[in-house]
Amino acid sequence: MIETYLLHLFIIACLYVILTTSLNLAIGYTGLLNLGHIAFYAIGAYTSSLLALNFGVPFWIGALAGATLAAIVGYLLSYPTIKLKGDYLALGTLGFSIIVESVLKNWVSLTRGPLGLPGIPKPSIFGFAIDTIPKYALFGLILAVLVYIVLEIVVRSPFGRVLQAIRDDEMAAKTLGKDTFNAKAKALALSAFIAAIGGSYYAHYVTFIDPTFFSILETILIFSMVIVGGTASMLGSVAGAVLLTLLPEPLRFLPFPSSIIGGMRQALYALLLVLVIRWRPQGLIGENTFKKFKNGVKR
Amino acid sequence: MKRPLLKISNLETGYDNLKVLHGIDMSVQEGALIAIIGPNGSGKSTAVKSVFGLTTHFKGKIRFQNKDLSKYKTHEIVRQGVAYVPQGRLVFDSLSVEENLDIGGYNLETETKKERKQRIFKLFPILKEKRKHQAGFLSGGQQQMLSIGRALMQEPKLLLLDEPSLGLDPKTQQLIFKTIKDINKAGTTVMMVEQNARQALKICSKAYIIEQGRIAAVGGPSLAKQKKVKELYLGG
Repeated sequence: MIETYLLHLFIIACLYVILTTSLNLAIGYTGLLNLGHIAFYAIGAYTSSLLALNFGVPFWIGALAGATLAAIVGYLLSYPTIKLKGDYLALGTLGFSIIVESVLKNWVSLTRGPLGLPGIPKPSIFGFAIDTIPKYALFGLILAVLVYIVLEIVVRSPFGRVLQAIRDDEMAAKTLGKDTFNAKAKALALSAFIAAIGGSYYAHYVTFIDPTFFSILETILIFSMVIVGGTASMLGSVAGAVLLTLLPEPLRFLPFPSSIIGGMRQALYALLLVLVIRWRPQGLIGENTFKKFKNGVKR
Repeated sequence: MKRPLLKISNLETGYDNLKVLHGIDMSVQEGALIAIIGPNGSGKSTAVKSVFGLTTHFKGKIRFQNKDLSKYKTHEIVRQGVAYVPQGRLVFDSLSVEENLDIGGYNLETETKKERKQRIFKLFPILKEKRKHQAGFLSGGQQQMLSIGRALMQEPKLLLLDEPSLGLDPKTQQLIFKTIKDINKAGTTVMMVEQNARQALKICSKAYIIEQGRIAAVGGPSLAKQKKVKELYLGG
């Protein structure tokens, strides 16, 4: 029983690693304050679930379809938001996630609205059924490691350097001959692609989704994980995801009703966020944590 | 007469719906050092930004080596051999001095990059000394040198400088102006917007005075001797 519980936590931690590392690509490496990440997660979850339920499409095709759709939406989202920066971009993307949530709630003929989608099949990849918790945990691990490696390669590549240059100073990046709009749109598309994979992974694990899974609360949680772990650091995102998944778990065992425990969980996230921002603004493992400059300056 | 490297004709540009330049003409010969001076808000920076594709284009032509730059995007203009050092320096704070230079020469072969870095270190010895230091913690003058050095990594044909002496102490200003002159002597055509009109007129081969988005005067360093220029820009 306890193993099942721990494995469940591990599966959820893997999901958040996927979501935080992909969000960090946009926020930490490109400087796009994207509060609409959860919408891409939702697009992935709903696309692969609907394809599996209505047409019996295999998991991996459904997941890829959802991810591609999310990437296209992410790229297109760059057009209306091109001139928005910082807080304004955050508001614009938050608006986008609210629109997606509303569509999920109100397009009843497609999504069943608030009733959600029950009976989503467990995945099967090339005939190998992932139908038990230990198998799903292994699947989650493989997926999270794969996403981590891909994103590490991307951020260390010349393209990744361009993204960081845009974050530090878009004008300076332009003066170096970089097409900054195109780079930002591609970063948002890749970030959306990976978030959507996370959505498919989660939907086929819990086998039931409804629009409440993709609310602003979830956005805040993933955002907090990125900030606590450290922006512009993939390792930081992993740390943030694991820490914030595990930290509130002991609260479950306190003799309080679940309504109070829920509130305490939110309070704990808030407390941790305040402490990190006050004492370690770069996050637990922020950018340049392992880099040394000759003038002894670390940021 | 040789065909100019850059020829601006009847240019009208601005920002969104706001027109700042009202039909300016400029001609820049290869190897020239052009100074653009004028009061605040007259459109000096807009003129160089227009060459670099950072403004809204309404009318007119910007011909650079027989290509109309007004039809190009900024990243394409860089590939034509134009480099721009923006006002306020804009170095990448979180990177070291050397990494900043590397970014400037991101498309070069390792050997070429090394060689160009050496050339820049010769031009600005302090950057060599601080090559492993974090750029965000350099002094204003050093950041300006780094910003110019980064632009030079591409060995541009035309270097656009927007107020290179802004916010620097007089001694550092002298050094920056001397280096700009050296860069020009080495063969790079320079177009510089400057508030320090006295220094700019001293080192330039040709100067344009812009007032309210129009060219008010054109001439060589002798402009400094004109009564009106003396009164308005050189403190009498």
